[in-house]
Amino acid sequence: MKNLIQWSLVILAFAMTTPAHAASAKGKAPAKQINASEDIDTLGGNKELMEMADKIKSTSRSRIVQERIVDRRNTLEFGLSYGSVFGGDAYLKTQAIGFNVDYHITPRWSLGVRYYDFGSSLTSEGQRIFDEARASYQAGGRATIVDIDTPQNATVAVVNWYPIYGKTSFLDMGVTQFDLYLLAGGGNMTLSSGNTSLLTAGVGLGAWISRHVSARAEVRYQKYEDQLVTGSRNLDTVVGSLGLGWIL
Amino acid sequence: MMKSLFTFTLTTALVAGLHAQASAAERVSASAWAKSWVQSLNDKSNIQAFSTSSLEKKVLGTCEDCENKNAMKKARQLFAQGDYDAAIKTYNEIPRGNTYWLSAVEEKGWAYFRQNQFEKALAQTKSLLAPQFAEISNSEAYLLQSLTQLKICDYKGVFETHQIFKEKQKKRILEVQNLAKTGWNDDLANVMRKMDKFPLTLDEMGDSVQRLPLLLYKDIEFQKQALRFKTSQHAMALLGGKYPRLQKALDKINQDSFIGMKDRVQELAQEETNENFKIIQKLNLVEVEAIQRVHTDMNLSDSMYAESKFQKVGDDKLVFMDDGRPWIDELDKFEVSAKTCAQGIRRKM
Repeated sequence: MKNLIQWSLVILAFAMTTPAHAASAKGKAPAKQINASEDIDTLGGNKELMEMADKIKSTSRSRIVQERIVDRRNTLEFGLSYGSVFGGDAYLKTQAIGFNVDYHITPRWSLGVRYYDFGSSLTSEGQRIFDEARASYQAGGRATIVDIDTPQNATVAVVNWYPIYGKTSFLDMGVTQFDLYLLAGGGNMTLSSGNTSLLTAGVGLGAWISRHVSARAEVRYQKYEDQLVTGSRNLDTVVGSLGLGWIL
Repeated sequence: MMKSLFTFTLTTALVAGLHAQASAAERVSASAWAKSWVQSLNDKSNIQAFSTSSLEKKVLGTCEDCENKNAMKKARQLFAQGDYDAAIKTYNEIPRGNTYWLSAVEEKGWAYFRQNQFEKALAQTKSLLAPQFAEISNSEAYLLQSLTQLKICDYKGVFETHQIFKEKQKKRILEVQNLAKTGWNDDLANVMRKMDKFPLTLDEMGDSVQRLPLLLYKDIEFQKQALRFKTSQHAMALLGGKYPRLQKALDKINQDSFIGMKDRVQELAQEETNENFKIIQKLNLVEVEAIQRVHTDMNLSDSMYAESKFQKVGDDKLVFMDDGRPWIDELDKFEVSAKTCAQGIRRKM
């Protein structure tokens, strides 16, 4: 009798774990009838049991592990950016076109070289001072100097660290992965008065649109010294830029 | 880690499958075929009796999506031979979005289960029972998850799975059972009204797929009868009372195909109901076992449980927590870590 029970258990266990696709060929089975209230409604949903089960220490946790869309190990990225300089000389409005090359050592670290070509124009305040000086000179007064030192270009080397990643979906068109990164570096800046050293640090967002196309938004603090007639001056400016890149 | 969320709907999930399916074979319009047949009647030298046999052969006679069909066949053979590693490898060849993909994921789950790799089996059911698929997944997927949770003594998980089963599958199970009796429901009527191109795709089924037998649209016999029904219906409408003898013959074909179609739906619905019946019985057995174990395990101390940890992943991978609402690109990317049963306790099942 005991053997019979054991065999029944073995058969039951096997039947439980035999999926339909692996079940042996069967003839036409008699029609079964499912009784919703007796067979389905009794399943789950018992609060007391749930509370008791909650006290038992065995649990399972799950997470999602995905590949990066872009393999950024030992990879080069070329980029083009456009941005504005905020702060600095009150008489100047400065824009920057940037050319970037980044060498991605790992998905977390990259080294980059950036060249910025600056273009400046006078702010309304600068224009007013300039116009006043010219008017004063034309009226036979003393010629005052509008004292500005315009940035011409800069070359900086930076190190980028990508500690945070995420992904987003735009209008259900597809999923884009991105990294938030910090950067720091230094280099040389050419001003109308000559060369000066430049230090920079910032934060950016790099979105990996496809295997070869990236987009970056970056805000960078930069510090340099310009030369005025009255002497040298420390400038603290912020550069905000948007760019597109090509990943090899 | 950050995830900004735009909800992916069931439709989005299904669309992925549609494209693969639609491009797989040349599809023929039933209305266009009927029109050309009616036009051919005007050419006295080329009068043809109404027969869809050559069309059926052309549209339904060729192996559709052969590569993946064969991969599934091979994987099932390997599974039956007990070569689970090779079976899993073959199941992995089915691309996501293919109509065989859900079956492949489920069967892969069973292969892991047979290998006693319960965490990997659960990782598969996480995809199958994700909100995108919970209503169209086979009820066997719920059994796989429930049984696996019982194996790792996650009794709370067992009860939760059964609750979800009840919420997501009950309506569908009863609808399919009803179809087994009647062979007809509003959803089938909707599908029949819209369908025109053959072979059928998931696209034609729309949301009705949730209330019709699984993979009905892939069934050759159903498609054959549906093709006859639609072409004869269009032909009768186009003839507009001309050729009374031909009309009578068409009417007979139309009625016969309608009955044939209903019979096939009934047959498939009954097969599925029989399968559902077995699954529900097994789920009830799992629940009884879980209830019994909850009472015995409640007072076991924490130290008796061994906790497994997630494997460390490199910088090349992204890790997101499972919030129960996975994105479409996250399906089949689950990893599960379990704090399994208390050690040193002998159980029989």
